[in-house]
Amino acid sequence: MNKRGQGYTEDMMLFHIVIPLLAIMIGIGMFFYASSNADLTIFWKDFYSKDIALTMDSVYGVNGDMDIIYLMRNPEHKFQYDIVEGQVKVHKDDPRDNVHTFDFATRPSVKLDKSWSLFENFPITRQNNVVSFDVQKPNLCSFVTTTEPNYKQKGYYIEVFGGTQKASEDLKIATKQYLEINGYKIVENSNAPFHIYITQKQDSESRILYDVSSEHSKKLSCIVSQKLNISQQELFIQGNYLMLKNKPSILIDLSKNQDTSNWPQKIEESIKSYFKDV
Amino acid sequence: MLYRFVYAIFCIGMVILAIKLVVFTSLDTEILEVEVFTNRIYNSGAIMYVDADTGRVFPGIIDFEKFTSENLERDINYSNKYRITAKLTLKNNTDKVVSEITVNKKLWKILYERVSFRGAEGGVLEEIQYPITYIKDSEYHNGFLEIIILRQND
Repeated sequence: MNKRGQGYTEDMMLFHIVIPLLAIMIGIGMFFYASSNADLTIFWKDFYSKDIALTMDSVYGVNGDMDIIYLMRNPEHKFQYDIVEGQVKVHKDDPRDNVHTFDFATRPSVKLDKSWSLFENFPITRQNNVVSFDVQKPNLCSFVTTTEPNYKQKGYYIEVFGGTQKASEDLKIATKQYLEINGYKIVENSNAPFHIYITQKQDSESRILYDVSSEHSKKLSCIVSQKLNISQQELFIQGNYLMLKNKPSILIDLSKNQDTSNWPQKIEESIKSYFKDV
Repeated sequence: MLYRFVYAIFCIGMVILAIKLVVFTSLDTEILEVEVFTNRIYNSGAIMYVDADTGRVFPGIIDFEKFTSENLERDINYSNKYRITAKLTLKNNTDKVVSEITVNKKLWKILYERVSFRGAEGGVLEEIQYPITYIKDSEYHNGFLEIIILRQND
């Protein structure tokens, strides 16, 4: 029996438990709804304007020449980056879009060669006190230095992955033969320092997969994807793909009816480009 | 009844506050900008000694003849003069002030008094001291460089 005015009633207890739980559920529900619908464009424009401007601050401030590559945090960020003397502007490729601007400090002895409009990963070069973003520079894949004079003798392991498919086998054999003719040391041991795997799982389009945590594999994948003109995909390596933990390694996933007739030559050119940084 | 209503509002308010504490929607880079600015002061040839033959800058060795506001403002030139300011005090090793310069003096006068204010009126203050050598009248002296940097909040 609950006497009025006496003690903590059941009703009160339930109220003190239910209301906070309800508040938490409503709050979390609203939070997830807002974050799933939020447009992060403003945030990323702000981020890139400040990040690039502070990078330019350092480029202007250092003494001597430098050569770096500015990478976007996410390839899906499609903005236009206008860089003029002392200012970075970031906006979408739409004249109506809001422009995010951030300043960087200039100095009289260093000059930008001209105003630039850039759209994706770009190199920043300072030579003889002139700063440039020459996007024609060929090796935008230069995440790490991999130059090696006797790269042909390293030992190359080329294998089919995930069962035998004719297209994969044909490409493997053709690539091995082409590399051997050109003086490359082909090994049958998976302990080799260089790995190329070939499979055929994709229906729609060919692609290259690589270990996202390896800068060497990333560079190799970038070069090969450019030469073969196919897309690349990052993988968080686990399970069946553990062989890609060897560095550098890539997995070429062929689509059906992919014409690979000149791929052995292009793979050889990619390897040469990887080790010669050209 | 009123109590229950107030209690419900209080609980919802606490949940919203908790979410606000973990969600970041702005990018505050003032502290980073102060660091970049400090590096440019210390590592550039604006006030530091530069070897005439090699062009090499010697961070930590101040050329007293170059220790002027004009030199620094020319070498670290922001188009927006109301963003960052600094006062550099050169002291000898008996703590006596040898020279003092200010970068963006107008902003310094405005911001120094209200740096602790919150919001766009206030700013970030950073104080750094470096042991240095300065060359004055062709003689080397040991001392300290004190830098106070103020960055206006956005």
